[in-house]
Amino acid sequence: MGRRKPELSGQSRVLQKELPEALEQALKHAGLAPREAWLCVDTDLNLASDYEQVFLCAEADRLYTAAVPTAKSSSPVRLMLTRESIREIRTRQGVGGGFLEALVEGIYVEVLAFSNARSDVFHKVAPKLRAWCEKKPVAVGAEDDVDTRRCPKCGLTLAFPGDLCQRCLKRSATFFRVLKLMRPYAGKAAIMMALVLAAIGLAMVPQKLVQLLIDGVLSPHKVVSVLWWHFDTPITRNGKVTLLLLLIGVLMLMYLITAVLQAVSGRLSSQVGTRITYDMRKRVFDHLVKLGVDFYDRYSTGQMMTRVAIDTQQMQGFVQQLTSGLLAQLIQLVVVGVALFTINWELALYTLVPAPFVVVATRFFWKKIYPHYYRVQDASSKLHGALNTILSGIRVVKAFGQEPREEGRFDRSNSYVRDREREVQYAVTAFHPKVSLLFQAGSILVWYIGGLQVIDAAGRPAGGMTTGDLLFFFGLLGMFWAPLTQLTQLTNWLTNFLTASQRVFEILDTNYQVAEAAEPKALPAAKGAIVFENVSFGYNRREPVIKNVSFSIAPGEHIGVVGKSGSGKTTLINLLTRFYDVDEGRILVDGIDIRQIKLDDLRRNVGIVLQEPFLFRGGIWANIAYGRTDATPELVLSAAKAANAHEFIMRHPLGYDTYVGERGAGLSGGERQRVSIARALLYDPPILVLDEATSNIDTESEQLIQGALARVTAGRTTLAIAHRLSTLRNCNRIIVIDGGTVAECGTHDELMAGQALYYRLVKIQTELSRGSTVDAMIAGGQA
Amino acid sequence: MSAIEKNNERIGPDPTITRFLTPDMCRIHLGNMSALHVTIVGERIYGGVFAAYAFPVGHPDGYVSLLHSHSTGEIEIGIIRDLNEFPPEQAQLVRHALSKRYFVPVIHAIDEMAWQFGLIGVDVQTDKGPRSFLMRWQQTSAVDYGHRGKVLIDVDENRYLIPDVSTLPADQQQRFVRFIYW
Repeated sequence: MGRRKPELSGQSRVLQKELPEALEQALKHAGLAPREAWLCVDTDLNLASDYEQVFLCAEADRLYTAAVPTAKSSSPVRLMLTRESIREIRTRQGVGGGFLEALVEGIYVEVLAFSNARSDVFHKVAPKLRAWCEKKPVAVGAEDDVDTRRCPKCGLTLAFPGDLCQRCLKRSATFFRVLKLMRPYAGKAAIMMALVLAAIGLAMVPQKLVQLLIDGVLSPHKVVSVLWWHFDTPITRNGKVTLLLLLIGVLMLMYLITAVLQAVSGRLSSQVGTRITYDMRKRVFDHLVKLGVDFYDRYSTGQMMTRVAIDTQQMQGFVQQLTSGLLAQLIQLVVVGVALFTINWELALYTLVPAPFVVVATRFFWKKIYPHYYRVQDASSKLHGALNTILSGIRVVKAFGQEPREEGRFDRSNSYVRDREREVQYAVTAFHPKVSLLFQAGSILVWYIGGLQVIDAAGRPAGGMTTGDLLFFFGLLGMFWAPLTQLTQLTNWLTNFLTASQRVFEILDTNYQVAEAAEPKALPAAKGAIVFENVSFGYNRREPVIKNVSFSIAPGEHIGVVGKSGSGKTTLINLLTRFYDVDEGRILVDGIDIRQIKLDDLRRNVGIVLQEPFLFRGGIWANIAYGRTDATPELVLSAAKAANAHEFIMRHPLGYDTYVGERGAGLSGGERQRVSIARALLYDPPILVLDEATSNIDTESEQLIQGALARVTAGRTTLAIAHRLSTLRNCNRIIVIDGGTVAECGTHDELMAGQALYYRLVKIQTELSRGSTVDAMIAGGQA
Repeated sequence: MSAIEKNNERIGPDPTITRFLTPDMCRIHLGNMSALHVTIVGERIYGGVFAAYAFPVGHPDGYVSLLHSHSTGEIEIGIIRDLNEFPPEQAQLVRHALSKRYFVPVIHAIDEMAWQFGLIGVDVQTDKGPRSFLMRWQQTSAVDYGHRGKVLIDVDENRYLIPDVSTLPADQQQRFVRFIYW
């Protein structure tokens, strides 16, 4: 490139920033020409780790960092390096931030510091500067401003590219989405609401009947009014008994109708609620199994179980709230309130006197108590966690004689739960009597004012408040107070409900990171040619695990992949199977980019035998036939025989129908592995991946499995990752991965002759295996 | 002690053995380009050194690992058991290196915390000035620091430390535990 400036493809707002006027002037004053810089990017920290805007500028032959001069430093330039002096540029991650470093005179020097907020920018800058140092062409332009990790609307950093922005989600939309879910049940929902209204109306009837009973039947007055009938002539005893029986009859009828309404309403509510929950759970689960492995890296299984099992349950809660919960009570409050004002508006006004106090006190109480409730839930889940850990590891606990320690640990968790629960219980039990006291104060007021009105009316020939009216009023008052206290929790309930719904929708809205191509290519039966072309990838956006890896494999070739732990061997497999997509480069199977291949076809063409064979709860037969549900018993038997599994399966009384527990409980590690090999064999994929398939088993099992694998891999493209290098001796080629790159590639003999990394690894293993193994010792003893 | 070798050149001590550094066997100083250097007597000078805590909570002034960064990775030169054993100017260089590696502003006061559908907006006073940040309302965003402290992690994965929540004024504690109750 010489002195040629890097290519610019449109202005980048991030990498070609305008310098502040003061800094530009100061730099000019220092003899620099900042406008000639092809790169001008700012960071938020200085090298003393204080917040300060520092700029990094790169010109054709040098780079420098600069900041507006301060009292501490009069020069705007903080560091200046010539391109010739720099051998390498890299970023180094610290805690909460990192550094851009340059290798100068054999030492990595810090060029600038950045917080994690700016980390992505400098991970983008580093390769550009590296290319600049190597005098390669560098492109800087508007395309560098694209940041898929940020919300395009508000700029919030997302949990992963393509994630939903929590800040921009419309909350009302969530509510309406739940309502939309109820659309198929609209008719039933309308009936439920009608029943709710009827139930409220009916609940008021007994109160009215009490009034009639007192004023019309039990009153000593000779002349009475019952509803619309005014009896001018005195009612006889027999007449009163008849009236009493009539009222009691009506009361019984009301109770009967109410019971029927409640039963119908409850049945409908359960029907709709459980159906919605079922639908939602199904949708969430169907979506979950389709989501990529990357999703499960971010969320724990426990979290997902909560979302599927508990959050979806909130949908049922929503329906119940409509029929008997807060929404029903809101309606009751309005209806009864109107009735109270209709009966006696003056008295109704007095009843409202304690209302503001109750509302304020309840609201204040819940605000205070809610964190304590959360704490109880949290403590309780931690207690379950502690119990789960202790019981799962009970063998280790016993082996190390740590029972007293675990008892202590459990006791601490248990005590914490007890204390937190007591805290909440004390608060709740102290609060309720206070609210009751407020209500009672209101009642006393109503008794007094209402009592006065009854006394005054008693002296009048007609009209005014009767004893029955007062008791009717009191009856309704109870119905008015009951929902008032609970309605203060409406916000909390709505918040919880919307949050839970949102958590459910969050899963449903999560895009598939490993998505099917718009027009995928079919590949029903691959030949098995694989090409990795300049592939780079990192699980963490800041730390690439695979760096520019290229190699190709011919159909039917057996390839061993070796390297130290964490070198990136399994990542290669994860990329080949599209558990993750490459960040850069591409992987081809039979000449087609795997991102273009129909996902089902790709998975059908690649079979995997994992280090930890996963068996599902169920029969051995079902586990072998997991990938091919149409497999005949003959095929299953053949696969099991080839996998050296038949013999041990037949030793079980129930043979292939033997039921295995969670994760294959009941079988040894070697047996589980042989079942999983049989599964892979039955699947019959043209490409087979063995991810340390024999690393966790004893020598005898390994020999059986090696024998099985020799049969399984014959004629297939095979990629075998192994720690025991002796198992790869017969591979056509061995790829040695080191630090995410291909360090060596060749046959065993070629690599041994090269005396590099593979040679050293083999040497180490040979040294280690010289000592007698336990198996060898047992065998020796028996001999 | 056996050593790591690269191209038959010794580049560091045996990584399987813990070597505690003492003032009589090493000198910590600034070298070329003001980078941190460590000279091990009778061994070599390590340039471009950085420091890392082994027990940042339990022993904030001890068990500091000094690492040398080279083109293919990092090697541990050794561990300082107690920084106070070293001359103050050398200990200061290590502390400075630590403060650079651990960019974790320490929160002195919580001015405001507000929840908004899964996010918490936090306004705080830190040793590096006032800061406002957004964190996700989930347990992984506020992790334990010892028995009483918490590290808050914002949406950009920046970290903020409250060494001991119980030392905050009562109203601020209440504000804090209202959201971070675990």
